[in-house]
Amino acid sequence: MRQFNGPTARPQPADRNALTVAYTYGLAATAPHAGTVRATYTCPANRRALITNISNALMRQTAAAPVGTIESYARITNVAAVAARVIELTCIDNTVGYQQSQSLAQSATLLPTETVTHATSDNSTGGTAYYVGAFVGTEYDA
Amino acid sequence: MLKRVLLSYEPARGYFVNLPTYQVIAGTFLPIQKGLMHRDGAYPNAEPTDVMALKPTVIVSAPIEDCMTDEGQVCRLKLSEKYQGNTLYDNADYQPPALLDFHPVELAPPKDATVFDRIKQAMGFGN
Repeated sequence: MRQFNGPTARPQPADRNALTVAYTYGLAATAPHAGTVRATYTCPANRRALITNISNALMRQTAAAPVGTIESYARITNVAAVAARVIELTCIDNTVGYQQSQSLAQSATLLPTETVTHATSDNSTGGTAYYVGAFVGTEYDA
Repeated sequence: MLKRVLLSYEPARGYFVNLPTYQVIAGTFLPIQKGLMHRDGAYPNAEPTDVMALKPTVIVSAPIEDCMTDEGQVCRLKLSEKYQGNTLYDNADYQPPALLDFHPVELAPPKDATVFDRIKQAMGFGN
């Protein structure tokens, strides 16, 4: 007698109670500020989340005096609580209109309890900056 | 769900809201106090202890409808269950922030808002 233990049929992630998860934030004419989390997403238990896109952008809107470091980053924290900045935008340029942006597509699959976090900071004195960030993913049953 | 919540601070994380998933609504930090807090956060040279003494709050959009008590606050047990295994939220020491109501006018662009701010608000960035 021959036994066959082939792969079991399992729906694709998009067919396992899938849910699009997303956030975005935009900060215009933002004064200097200490490090502040602007948005975060945590994958719930028994779910996974395929990151479709993470993006960050920053732009100097008005000059500072003196200029400090403007920072905008996106961080992934895994189940072992190890955090990695997957996008890091840092700027010490005081030119109005100077901008940076970065986008990551299909960058990781979040396991339960793992997080994506966007944060910004500006150590200048005076001046303002514009920040925008977004996260889009598809959450589904693990 | 839009709610005003208390801000938290840790040196490693900076200023944050102690919820697993949320986005901050731009321009809604309170109380605004010269040298300590403006509408988009705490000043970089302000001492965190001085800032936290103000009991700062911010409006966030957070998908917590399935983790609420009958009183309209975050249910720690439901949240722990939803994020089972998470060292921050599936933790007996975790205290969810109080959810506070706010007046809709708090979401309006400030008086000194630029055209850029108003376009951003109309497009829904940060909302």
